[in-house]
Amino acid sequence: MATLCKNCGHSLVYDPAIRKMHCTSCGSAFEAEEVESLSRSYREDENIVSLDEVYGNEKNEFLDCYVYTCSNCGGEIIINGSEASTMCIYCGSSNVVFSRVARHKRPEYILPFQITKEQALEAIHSRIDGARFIPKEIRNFEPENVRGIYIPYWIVDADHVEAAVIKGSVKSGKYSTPVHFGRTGKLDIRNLPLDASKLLSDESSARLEPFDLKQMKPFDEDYLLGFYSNVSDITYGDLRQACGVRAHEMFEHYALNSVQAGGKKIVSSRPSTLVHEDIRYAMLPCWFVTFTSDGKHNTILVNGQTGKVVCGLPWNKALFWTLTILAGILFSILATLAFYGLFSILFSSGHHRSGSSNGGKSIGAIISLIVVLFVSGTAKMRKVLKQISLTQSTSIFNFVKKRQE
Amino acid sequence: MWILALVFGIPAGFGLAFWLFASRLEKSNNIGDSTGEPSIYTDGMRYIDRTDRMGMSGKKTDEYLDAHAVTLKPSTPQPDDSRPVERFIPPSKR
Repeated sequence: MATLCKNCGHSLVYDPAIRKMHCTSCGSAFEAEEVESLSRSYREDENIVSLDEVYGNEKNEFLDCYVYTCSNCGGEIIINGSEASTMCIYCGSSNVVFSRVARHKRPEYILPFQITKEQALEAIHSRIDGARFIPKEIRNFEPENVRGIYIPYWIVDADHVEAAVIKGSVKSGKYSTPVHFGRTGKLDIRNLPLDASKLLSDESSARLEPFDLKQMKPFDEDYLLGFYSNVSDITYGDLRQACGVRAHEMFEHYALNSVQAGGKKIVSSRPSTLVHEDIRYAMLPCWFVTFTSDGKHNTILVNGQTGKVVCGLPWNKALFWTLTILAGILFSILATLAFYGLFSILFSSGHHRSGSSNGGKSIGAIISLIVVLFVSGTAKMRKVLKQISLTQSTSIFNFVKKRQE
Repeated sequence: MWILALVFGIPAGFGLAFWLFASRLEKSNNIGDSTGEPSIYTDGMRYIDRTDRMGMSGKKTDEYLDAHAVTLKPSTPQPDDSRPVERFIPPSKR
């Protein structure tokens, strides 16, 4: 039996719009803490069986797949190695794999969905509908799947100490000279959420932040009903590495801000991160919206608490380059006229004595400006391309797609 | 003079146009490209050392790192890197 409505006996699901358990049959609503899954204690001991054991498979075709039984109709449910809740393809009921969230594997906290599926789609459209460089067919995309998935996270506290050498350029008279700076500092990191799913890249999950962790509730399986979820499948090595990367980014942020120089960057550093042992296990909400465009799969993420949209969408290259070239021609004419006027003044006979010195400075400044414009523009393009590659990554698509409908 | 103005005017014009539309492209297509601010997770950095205008040689860099780098050591034995992460249960509740 699934978690059933006290009034009509129909299956309940968690409804983010009213933030309560909702019966889709009679419309009754209950607090998650009020209802008790009748099958929980019975099903905690139920084993999930490897697909290979059930059907026999010497070639390991069904890698990391398991068979579970639907608590409502008894139908066979296929789940992957880390899924904790899913839907039955036969009756559509929401099912929790209790043995994966039982006892010591049980998460301590859950941040229930606060954004509905409709609100998630609305948030995406409000963000992309007016975006000039997103092709029209993508702005009007038809989602293939919209899935609410609870992502497993470890919430960690950590100490981080790092010594670093920063290189930057400092004005010295007429010229800029490269200088090194030393910075050593300590960070006390508190409540840092680190995604605990191997299938989901840390880069994608980190972009879902911030979450307001004060709104987390003690874990209750009933919040999973109506949503998909995964359990942690990472190792301590993965956790330490992910924490070290985030801690270094924070150190870099503070260290670079403390240096008064241009073009500054860390050239060498020695970090040390110590994750405290009292890590907390939590499930945090995210909507995954998938669609296909030009044969490529795209997955847009929406933070299930705040509605923050995360994606990099393909761009209209023809429009971008046409506008850039047309504007380039116009700006070139204007810049040429402006430089002609400037050089005429600087190199005219009246300014002959100081003209060559000022002219040299001006030409140096113009060359620097041109370099800065191209370097900064290229950096922006690279950020866009990076975000597009995350949105089109196969691993995130598989994380969402390979689940029962 | 015209040639000099053209030599600098064309790259400056195209550089400006490229930067302008790359900025607009970033605003349009790169959505939610940010992580949580460090201030959410820390109260700032406590500096142990700040040295400005060090020497530029590789030797000076190594000397600085050798003098200031610290390795944090856990007070209790840590789980092996290859072990799956498990929920922490305080010793009193085990």
